[in-house]
Amino acid sequence: MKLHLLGVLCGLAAGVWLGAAEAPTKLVDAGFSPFVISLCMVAGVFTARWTFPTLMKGTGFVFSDIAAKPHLIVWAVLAGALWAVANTLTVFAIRDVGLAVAFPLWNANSLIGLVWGILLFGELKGASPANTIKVVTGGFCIVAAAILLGFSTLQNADASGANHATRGLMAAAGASLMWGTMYVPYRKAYLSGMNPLSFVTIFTFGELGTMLALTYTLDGQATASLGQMVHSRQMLFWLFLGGFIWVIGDLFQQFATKYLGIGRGIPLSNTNQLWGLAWGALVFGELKNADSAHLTLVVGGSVLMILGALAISTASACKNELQSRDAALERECYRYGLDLAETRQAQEGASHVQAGSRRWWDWGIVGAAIALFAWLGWDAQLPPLAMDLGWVSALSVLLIVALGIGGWSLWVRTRFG
Amino acid sequence: MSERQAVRSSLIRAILTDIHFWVPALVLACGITLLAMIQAG
Repeated sequence: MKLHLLGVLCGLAAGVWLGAAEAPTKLVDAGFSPFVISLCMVAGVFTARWTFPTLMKGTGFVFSDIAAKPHLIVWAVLAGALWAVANTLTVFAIRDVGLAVAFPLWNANSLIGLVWGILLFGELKGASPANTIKVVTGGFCIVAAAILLGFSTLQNADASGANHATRGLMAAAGASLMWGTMYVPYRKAYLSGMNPLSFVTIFTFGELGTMLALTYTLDGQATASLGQMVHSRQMLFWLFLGGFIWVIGDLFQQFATKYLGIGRGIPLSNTNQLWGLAWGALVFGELKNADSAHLTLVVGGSVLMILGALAISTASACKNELQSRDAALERECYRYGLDLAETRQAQEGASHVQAGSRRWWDWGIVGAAIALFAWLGWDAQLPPLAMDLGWVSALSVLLIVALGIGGWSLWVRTRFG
Repeated sequence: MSERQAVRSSLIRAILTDIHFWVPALVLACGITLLAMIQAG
């Protein structure tokens, strides 16, 4: 299997899983501080990292990989911190200007990522004109489609939150810039041959540490709000479940970035908007009262997103473009004393760090993480919210299929390398 | 200076002179400042 195809499969699987990650959070009642909601979801992401991803590559492999490229710890922590701050900014953006205005702004993050990819890593340098047009046009199509789909869900949007318009716009633009910049550390790590599982491990520490610091320093009502949340295992469970689904999606996104680069991988995983809409519309009936104008937006946005994804999927990098990728890779090797041959092999999915067998503590860590999920979910009940369980089953099957195809492809081609 | 210290200081120098570090670090600093301003509101 070609690495380009593998990256495309990972990008599309990331879209399916990241789109589903919001569904469990819809089951959480409002009333908690935005910082606390964000913190609990990040805690779920952190815990989920230590469930079955630990079995893909044991802790021995992960820590050997990190030890071989210790400088990348800085970038992984930076990426986690950028994600945490961006996610919190979006909560404020929605509060101040509403989704209708905030959404288009922060969805431009993949275009910001594309700009950084071109400027900092020489992506698309040497690409054929046809491929450049496909990638840039595909990226714009996916952003435009995400905006159309976002608007389609806003039937009852009002301007009640528009009292602090400038503040909200700045928050949305800030989130976009931060998410777009978060892909700089991603790309750097994978050019240096780091395994995505190793990167995600440090990333989750950066994410959790930043959210704890932000909640402690900026949220005056955090203690009371957090106390309430901790006493509500059910709510914690849904947020943790959202975090679990997000981790799977993010791992696929990381592999897509590794094998396709920022310019192609991120727009593909941003097709999550389509799947988020599918969960909202089919499971929660968010479009049941939609008029023809909104349904036109849904169809138009979906078709545009599929066309954008198709354009990027068919833009396989040519020899000249791969040479410019190698030049970026050589820069990393020269600057940080990495072995050029090993780093090149890592680009093909091979790793010089031996996976080794799982240790007893790997099983202990996985057992503890699963036990925490089981404890939180023990009494969990679905809130009295109208849901179509048939569509829940259908979309869950789709998640499993995406996981199976993406996971199997990664295993066969790279052994999760 | 031991070899280990020399390696560590050269690594730190390489990180601090790398534009790939400063771009996300400055964006992060701006984001935290923005968040603090919004919360102070």
